[in-house]
Amino acid sequence: MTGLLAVTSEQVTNYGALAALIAALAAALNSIGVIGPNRRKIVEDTNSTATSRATAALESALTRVEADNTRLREDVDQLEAKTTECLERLRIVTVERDSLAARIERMNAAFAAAGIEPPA
Amino acid sequence: MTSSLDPTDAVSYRRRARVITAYGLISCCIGTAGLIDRSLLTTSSAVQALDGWVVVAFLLYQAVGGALAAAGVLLLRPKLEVVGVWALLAFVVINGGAILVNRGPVGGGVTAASMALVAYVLHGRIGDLHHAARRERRVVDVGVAPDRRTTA
Repeated sequence: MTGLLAVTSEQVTNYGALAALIAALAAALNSIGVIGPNRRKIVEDTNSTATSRATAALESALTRVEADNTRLREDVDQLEAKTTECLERLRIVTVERDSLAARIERMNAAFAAAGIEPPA
Repeated sequence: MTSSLDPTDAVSYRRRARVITAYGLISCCIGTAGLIDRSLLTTSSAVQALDGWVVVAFLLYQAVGGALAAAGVLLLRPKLEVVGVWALLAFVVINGGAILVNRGPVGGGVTAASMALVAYVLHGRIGDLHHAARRERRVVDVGVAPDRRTTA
């Protein structure tokens, strides 16, 4: 009985050591992502990181486009204001020109009535 | 800011893993010596408790694990290091178990407890490396080129 127990104890030690060696090998392979649950985690993390990076890049691009739009809107507003101002000035100049033309016309008529040659 | 688990910061990384480097190099030397000349290990509990081919595997784990762990730290390769540390952990656990079996819980208790402490440190290092690897994988650095329209 004692002999049987001694043999069993030796076997347990040997097989225990062997199991520990195999378990360590499996754990090491799992750690570097060759097998096991860590491999799945690495894939998940990589996908998640790729998605995050893509989302961040899209958000960045969108922000840039929005900034461009804002700048463009400001430019168009400024251009519109300037155009309105120019049109108003043109209208005033036109009215003034018409008025001056009418006055010249009247003076020419007065010169003609007085029989004087109007100045060139 | 880099952490001491980031291999790009070589000085901090190696400083934090000094214990692993030292233990790895010592284990490599002892394991290699044992593989070359088995008579050097006649007083070893593991050699007395284990069969011949298991002893060879045990010594291989010690030598190769130690070399990988030290090389992983010195060459700044965490994957290499983690494999080596796992091998060293197996070696330490088996050695502690063999000491307990060979000398009994009282005679070998202190040595086995020391082995447990080493195993705890090694396991902690593995946890640190896993944590660092996961954090590195989850880093989101937005690789968008500068806007050429505004930097022209």
